Amino acid sequence: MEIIMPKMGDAMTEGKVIRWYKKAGEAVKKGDPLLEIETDKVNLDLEAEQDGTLGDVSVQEGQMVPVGERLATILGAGEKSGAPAKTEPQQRRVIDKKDSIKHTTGEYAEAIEMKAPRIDRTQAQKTNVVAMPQAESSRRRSSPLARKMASSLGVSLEAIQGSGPQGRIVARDVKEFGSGAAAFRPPIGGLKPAAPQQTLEEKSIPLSTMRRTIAKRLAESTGPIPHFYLTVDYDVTNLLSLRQQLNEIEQAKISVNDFVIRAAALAIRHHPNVNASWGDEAIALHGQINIGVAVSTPEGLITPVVRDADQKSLIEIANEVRALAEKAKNRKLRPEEYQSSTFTISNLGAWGIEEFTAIINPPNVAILAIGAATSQPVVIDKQVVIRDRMKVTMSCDHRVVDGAAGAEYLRTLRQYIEQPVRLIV
Amino acid sequence: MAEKSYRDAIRDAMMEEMDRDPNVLIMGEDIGVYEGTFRITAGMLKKYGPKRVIDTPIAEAGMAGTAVGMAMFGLRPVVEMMTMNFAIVAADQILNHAAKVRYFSGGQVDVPMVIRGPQGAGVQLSAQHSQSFESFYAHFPGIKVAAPGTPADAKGLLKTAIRGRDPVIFLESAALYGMKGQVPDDPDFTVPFGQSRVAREGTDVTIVSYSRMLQMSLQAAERLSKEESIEAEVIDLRTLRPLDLEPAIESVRKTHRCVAVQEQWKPFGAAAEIAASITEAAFDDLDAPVERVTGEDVPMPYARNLELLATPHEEHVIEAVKRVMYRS
Repeated sequence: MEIIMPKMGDAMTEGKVIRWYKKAGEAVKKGDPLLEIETDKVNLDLEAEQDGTLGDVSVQEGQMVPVGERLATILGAGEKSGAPAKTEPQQRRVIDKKDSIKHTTGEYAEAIEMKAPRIDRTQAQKTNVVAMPQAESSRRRSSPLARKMASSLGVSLEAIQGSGPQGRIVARDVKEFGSGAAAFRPPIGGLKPAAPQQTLEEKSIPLSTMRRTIAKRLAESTGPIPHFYLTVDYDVTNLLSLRQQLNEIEQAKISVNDFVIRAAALAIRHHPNVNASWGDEAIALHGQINIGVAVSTPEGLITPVVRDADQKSLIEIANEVRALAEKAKNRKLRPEEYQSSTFTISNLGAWGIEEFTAIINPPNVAILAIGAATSQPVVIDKQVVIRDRMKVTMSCDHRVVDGAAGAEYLRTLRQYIEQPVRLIV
Repeated sequence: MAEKSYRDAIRDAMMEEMDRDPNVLIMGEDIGVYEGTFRITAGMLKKYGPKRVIDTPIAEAGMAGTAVGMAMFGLRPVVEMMTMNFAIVAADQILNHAAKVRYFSGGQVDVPMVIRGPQGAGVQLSAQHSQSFESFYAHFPGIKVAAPGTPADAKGLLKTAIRGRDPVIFLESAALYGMKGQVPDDPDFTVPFGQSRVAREGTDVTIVSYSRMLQMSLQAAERLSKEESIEAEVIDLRTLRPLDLEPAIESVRKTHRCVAVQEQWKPFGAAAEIAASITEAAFDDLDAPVERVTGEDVPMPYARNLELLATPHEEHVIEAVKRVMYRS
């Protein structure tokens, strides 16, 4: 029998084969998951509907397949592999498999689905004759030559921005993309003469159907950047004492925020997805870790950037931040000193603010809001003791950073903040 | 080689073929005593006499029908239409007889005749006398259609037409009659049908054209080179049936962009045929849709200013080239 791409909803016209669990020729039992497919709403496993041998796997992983097209066959006892009598896809029975599938990401999809776009009724009344634009922009316009060039370069069109009419991707866009892969690399200022090593891999992740849907839904509900906030309470007793020792021994002036900058940068190494930018076609993961530090000046807020912060010592960071803040207050910052941040830290501890939420600094996808360290009674080993605590709230761009990803980052950050010796080794 | 006008090149071709073959004769309105409305046949009556240079009544259907009969019996008539617009009256003789006789006779009877005359806009002849007929005739199997864009091609293609076995519609551009160019003296110089040529080499965009629009495209190409640093390759089709698009397709594989230029109206025109054929053959090489530059979709106005607005100009070609290069 044939396994076909099921129709998972009225709007579904095609689905993507994510992975095959079974290879052609492998024996399968009724109910075995055979492959995972992705639709715009959900990832799901297709199961074998009979015992037999998997044969004629006709679709590769990663391929988009129209609803009703054959994916593979299951051969019963005695049946031979080979091209079966060709039938037109339209004539095939398209089975609605809503009930017989196992949702792998079902709950999440449902949550998104339920969050219908908010309708401003006053607005709707005024413009009720205006047709809703078809938001489905997933089809990329591109010239035939651009497609040919992209495929020979092994580049996905999804990652390329088109410069032709209506965003058509044309040959020069592919050429530029091919030659300028380092487009996201920020210019490096004169702060550090030696070229720093690139710690993380710089790459572009094409948007999956699901990622596009998440982005669209969340943006519709909360504005251009769908923020969410995660707050943690770190124990900074050790950090404060280490700071005091360092400043005494080294005759240095390292602030708590300098510790946080280094800790945040080192934690990013483990979670490059928070060091990213959202694009209409792709999420850019940055190769450098450049921490923007919010500095208030009489004119307003500016965020000078500590470049390659993960590769600088606490003292280097402290000196650099002090110099940058001084320049910022005197309005002497050069553009390369406040541009190209990949992550931002805002600290209102000096103002006695214990906890706050910050607005993401685009094109970053996350910002840390650092509160004041305060002495608190805490229970440790069933004893009430006084410890220094500091609240940190991370604002995340939900299009790129999901809740769990943000939480994992904060967990790693905790290790650096609460065991600050990690910051000096 | 000698410098000749397009007009003289056409006369030379007829006279050389009349010298070469006693079966060749010409007929038309006012071609003998009056020596031709556009002076193409000047001196020919005196040289060849009234049996071979025949002044006809104003009766295009009769002229064409007579020529079909002559051709079926072995003569090689060349019929001058005062303008190709008047040949509409003779369309039945041309399309239903000249174009069909060999087919109906199972290949036994050829119709070696030429219908030639000026066509096109640019000389203030108004709506009935400024039309272009290449897509009209080239649509039909059984006839050949030539549209030379240089004096040399006018001579070489007309000689091939007179020597051939087929009825040929030979479309001269009224606006090119005075144009001068180098023309080979060799009485056996001919230009074969169905062999397009590269009129100007270039790397950035392919312009496909013929007849007067060829000259305009070449001028546009020079300006593109000077003003925009765009090197256009210009293809001269020479004949529209048979239509040789190989050099154009080969060029598009190199430049990835194409503009087809014609004088006639846009719908169902030669440029549409060119665009479709190139898209079929070189789809994966195209970086932009094939653009068409054509005349405005109106009957040709008489007033000079309106005629200029209704016909394609260099500027239109330059704009189209910039569009396919995504420069506009």
